[in-house]
Amino acid sequence: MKKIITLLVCCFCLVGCKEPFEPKSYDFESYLVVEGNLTNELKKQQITLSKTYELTENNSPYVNNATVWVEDDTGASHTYSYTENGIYESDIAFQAEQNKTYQLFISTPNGELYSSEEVTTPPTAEITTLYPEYNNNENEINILLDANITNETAKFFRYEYIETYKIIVPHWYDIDFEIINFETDPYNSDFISYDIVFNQRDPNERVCYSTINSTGIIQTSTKDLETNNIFRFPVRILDENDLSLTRERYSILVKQFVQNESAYNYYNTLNELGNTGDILSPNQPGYIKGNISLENNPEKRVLGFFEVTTLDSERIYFDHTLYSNEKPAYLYACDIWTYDYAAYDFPNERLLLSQRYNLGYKLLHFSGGNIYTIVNPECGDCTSFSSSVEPDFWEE
Amino acid sequence: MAIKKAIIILLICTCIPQLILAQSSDKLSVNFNRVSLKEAFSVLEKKTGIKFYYQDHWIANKIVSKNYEKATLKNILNDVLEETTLNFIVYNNTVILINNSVVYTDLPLNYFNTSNNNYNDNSAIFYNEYDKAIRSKKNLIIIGKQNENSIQTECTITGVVKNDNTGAPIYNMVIALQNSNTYTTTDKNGYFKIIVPSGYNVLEAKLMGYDNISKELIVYGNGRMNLSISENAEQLDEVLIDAKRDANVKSAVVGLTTIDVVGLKNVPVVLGERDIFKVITTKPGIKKTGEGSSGFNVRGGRTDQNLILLDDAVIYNPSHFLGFFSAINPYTTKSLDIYKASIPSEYGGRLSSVFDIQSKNGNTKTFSGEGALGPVTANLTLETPIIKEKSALIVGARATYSDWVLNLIDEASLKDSEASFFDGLAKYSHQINDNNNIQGTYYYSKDAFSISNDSILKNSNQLISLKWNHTFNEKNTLETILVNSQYKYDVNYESNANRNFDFGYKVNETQIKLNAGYIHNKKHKFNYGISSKLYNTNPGKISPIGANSNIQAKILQKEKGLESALYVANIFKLNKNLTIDTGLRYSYFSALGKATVNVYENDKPRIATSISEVKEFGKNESIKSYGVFEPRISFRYLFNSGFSIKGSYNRTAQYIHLLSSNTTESPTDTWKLSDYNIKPQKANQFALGVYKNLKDNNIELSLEAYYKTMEDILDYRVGGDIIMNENIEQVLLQGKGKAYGIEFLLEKKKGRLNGWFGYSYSRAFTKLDSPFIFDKVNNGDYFPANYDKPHDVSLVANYKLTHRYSFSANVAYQTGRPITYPIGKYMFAGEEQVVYSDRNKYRIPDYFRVDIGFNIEGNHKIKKLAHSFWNISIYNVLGRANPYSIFFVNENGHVQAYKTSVFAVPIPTITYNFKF
Repeated sequence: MKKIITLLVCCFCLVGCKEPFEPKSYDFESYLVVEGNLTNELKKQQITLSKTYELTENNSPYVNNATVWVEDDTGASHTYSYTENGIYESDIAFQAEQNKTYQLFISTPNGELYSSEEVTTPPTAEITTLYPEYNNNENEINILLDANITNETAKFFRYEYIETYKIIVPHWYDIDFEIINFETDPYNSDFISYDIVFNQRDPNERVCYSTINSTGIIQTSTKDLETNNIFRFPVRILDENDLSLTRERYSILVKQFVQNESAYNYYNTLNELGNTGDILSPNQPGYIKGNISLENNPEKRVLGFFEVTTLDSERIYFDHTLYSNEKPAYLYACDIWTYDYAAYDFPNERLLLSQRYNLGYKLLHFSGGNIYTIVNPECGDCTSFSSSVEPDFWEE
Repeated sequence: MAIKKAIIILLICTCIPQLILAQSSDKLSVNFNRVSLKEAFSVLEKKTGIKFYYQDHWIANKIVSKNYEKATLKNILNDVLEETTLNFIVYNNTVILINNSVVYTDLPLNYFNTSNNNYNDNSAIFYNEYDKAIRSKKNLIIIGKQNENSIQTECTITGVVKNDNTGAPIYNMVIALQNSNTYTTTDKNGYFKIIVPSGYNVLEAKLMGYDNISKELIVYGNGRMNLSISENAEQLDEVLIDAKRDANVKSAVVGLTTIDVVGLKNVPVVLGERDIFKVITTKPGIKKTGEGSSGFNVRGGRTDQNLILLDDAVIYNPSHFLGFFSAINPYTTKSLDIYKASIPSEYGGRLSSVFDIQSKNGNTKTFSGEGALGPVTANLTLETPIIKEKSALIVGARATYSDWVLNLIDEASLKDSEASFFDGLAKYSHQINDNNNIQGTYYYSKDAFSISNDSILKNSNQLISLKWNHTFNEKNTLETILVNSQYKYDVNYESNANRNFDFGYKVNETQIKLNAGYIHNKKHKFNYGISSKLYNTNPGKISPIGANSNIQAKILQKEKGLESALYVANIFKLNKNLTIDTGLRYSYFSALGKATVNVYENDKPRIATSISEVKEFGKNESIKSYGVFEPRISFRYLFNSGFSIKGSYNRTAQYIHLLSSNTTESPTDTWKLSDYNIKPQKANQFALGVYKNLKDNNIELSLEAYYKTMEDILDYRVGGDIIMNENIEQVLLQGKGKAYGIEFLLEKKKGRLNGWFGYSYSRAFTKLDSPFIFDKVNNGDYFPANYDKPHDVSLVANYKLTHRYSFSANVAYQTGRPITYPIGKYMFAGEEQVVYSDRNKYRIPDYFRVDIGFNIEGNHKIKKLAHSFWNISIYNVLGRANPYSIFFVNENGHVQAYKTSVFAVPIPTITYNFKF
């Protein structure tokens, strides 16, 4: 026992690993997918109809030839007409009213009639505050939401957001260049010649506004809470890579939908199945039945849900001064080159200049002679990836 | 069969007998002048210092008058006893007189004709046998007293076998008659009883891990023989051997798997953890859902259907770190028996199997210890006598070094995690006297790990077992067992919002059991008893952490239940060939208040809107009771010594169920008692097997087939919330199960090459049907269970190069397990979602793994401080990435498929084991 016991540790080893793979496609079946959210906002309401598609594909097929209508318990019917991208819009603006139930009907050209359960309008609830908060440890911004819910029966919430941010290109030059009279030597394709002309640039190419809709399911519930309050719910987290969005000015519009419990459960289950669960004890996946079924064949799968919600929304603005006086990096890396038109041997700068011109590079500096400084389009012209139209709501 | 009172213990042999001693050959001079034999012996005792053993009445009235000059003790005794019927042997510094050989004046007819000796073979014992025994000069034992007029052809020998070092009784030791098929095994108290023909016999005692000994006996009548046997720590060859010599052929138990714990040391292991549970999954009929998942699927049963007993107390979660390691310390474990089909009537409460784990008794002779150092844990076991030869304590503990295992996992979400575990066992055993012994075991295990930065999971098992064995007489015994088990876990979640909480779950059970044995006669043995178990569960408790937390403190109502059972079993030996084991068990469960119970409308699904009544029950008021009659019957028909056929029917019931929303068992699953809405699970199993032993029982072959049906097994609605659900019955479904299969096992026990090969073809199905669409899974048809893996091949082999070096290998192949696979995608909520196939319609790729190991025993010097043993092993030597699971996640609005594998590269390990 007095022996000196030495321990030999095992060599470097890996215990577990997770790797992505391309799944094979099996037994594909096409099912109807319904996404409908009737809110208490007076507007032309929308229903989206699409179909399932194969694992190997990337585009959702839309259903554009169905007849869609919503009936309420008073017998009033609202018909919807197809617009585009699978979206059907009500012919007349209307809104979900309290103490009413609504039912969605879809009839397809092959004679199938789908209907939803009757859905009641949930109570309303207001957002109290929406505020950004910088987290120094993680170097991220949490967009947090507080809501003191006065109606005790409003317990289930789903969120969507639309974020808009202002962009000012970092390398702006009033004048752009254009290549004309491009000629290639028939005996040596590397030997080229062209003329360069200058144009005054549209100043709108300097400032832009990008708008992005949220994706995915963002939910919370006050079911297990002592008080019916939402406190510091993170609707959106701008991580380190997203901080560039706050370089000039950032705005987020958060929409809070009060859901019915069954709708909450449907979205919540769907969301959980889209997450891994515990890697070693994965969730049991399967078909989740929504509230829409095919008349005469209730066992046929129909994906999606028709929900009635009440809406409150809140918009805030902020910029980088929230956490630093220094501007964060621009959205894109800037690629700047200086070429001499006269250099056509080695390196053949004349050729390189023309090639980059074709990629959309913008003039950054011209000081006369044959020397041109250029920059990639993302850093010289924001309309190359965004829109120069200032949104109506925008406040500086 | 009556046992004669006049039993003389002539000899208790020890394990290092020495027959010829120096004193016995010394020359003596002595003069006897009309002295009694008794006086003569006492003179000789004084002169030689050798003690004489005899019965006074043998030598009454015998007078000696002789003078001896420089004679040896032997010569003197030969001379003195010449006129008497006494014989003697000099043994171990003693002289033993034998008064049972009568001089026959005539030899029987066939004395010189050995070719035809069936004639009246047992009528008497003759000199040649006696001579043979004397001449062999080893361990001669004479039992009973010969009487010229008695022709007792069969004699009963009883005795107790003890461990020479520890004094503890040895369980399962095979006592076999050489060159015959007669054998028996020792019971838990080391007691055995064997019927042998009178005359010269050789009895062999065998058990893995102990010296094989053989005893030569001359048997004249019924008698007693106690044995004391040493452990053979140095022995390498006898690994991987089933303890029960030819028990596979002869017992009436179908579907029994016995694991030799000592032999485990040569089986290659992962990360150096010797693991009895890893080894059992190499036996046919016992599977795991995936590598590193916890729980066992025995013959198509679910993971919650195994009654895992450690010293008679239930251990709820016998694994560490999600199932990578077992929570049973191999160094404190004596034996593991798994009943897959014929479950003895004394056990109940689970559908599929009983894992009977017995821990070791401490060493009652000297202080000793054993330990191991591996890359993950250190392990130390100490044994010490408390009262020498009577009582002892064994204490074993095992703990992880650090949290580095998780850091090796190449998975970002686990990278910053930590994991540690501990388990410890203490057992006190006390042999009060021949008829009473008591033992007490305490076991505790604990795991702590964090899967993400903001949550920590802690879970622990605790059990206490107290047992009193009492022998009333040779026919009646009683075990009184009192056990308590507890499993609990706690999840601590702290992020920076208002949802910080602490969640706790606990299940506790206390059982008292009286288990009696009664041997009516040679043909009928009975086992009967009564047991009662009280369950208390705290299904969930959540409380806020910190002032900011807005979580509502909530405690789900406690569940309470009383499970009682009455049983009687009879082993009936109709004749030499046919044995029938009949067991009757009646179990009765009452769900007890205090509780508030939802009553649902009869023909409606169990949803909130179909509640027809809410009933209140007071404290200890019976909410609902269920009684299940559980007959268990099996037979064995022995065609000849090494070949038998067996069959069984078993019915079992289960009143506590594991709720799991995952495809594999997880430590955060909860146990739920049957109640007003949840019925007990029930199962029927039919099994049939043929068993053949070859080459003196060295090779065992078995082929078993089974068919099993299950009722009211629990499942749940997809997406149902199982944790902190006050109306849990609303998300639970009860369905049917069926399973069938055929299992083949070839086991070679001895020789340079030993090990086993197993193959099984088995299927397991579940059916969840209901009149309500959303309670149907796969249209209410049978679908493969998560652990349905039809083909399963395993090979465990050990090859001994020399006494010190051996090489071992495992090969495992299994059909991939079923999974629910995506069959398409769709757009919803602005991102891609997955459409899943019917449940378990597809399979992950097949599983294949090879492990190798090399074992080095320490040197065999007698005087050394510790006996050491090195094990070098490579787990998954081919580095095959066997998929564990396949899953799909939404990443940036698109579905991405991932597959995970556990231990995807070869894992080399070195462990050092020592014993002192």
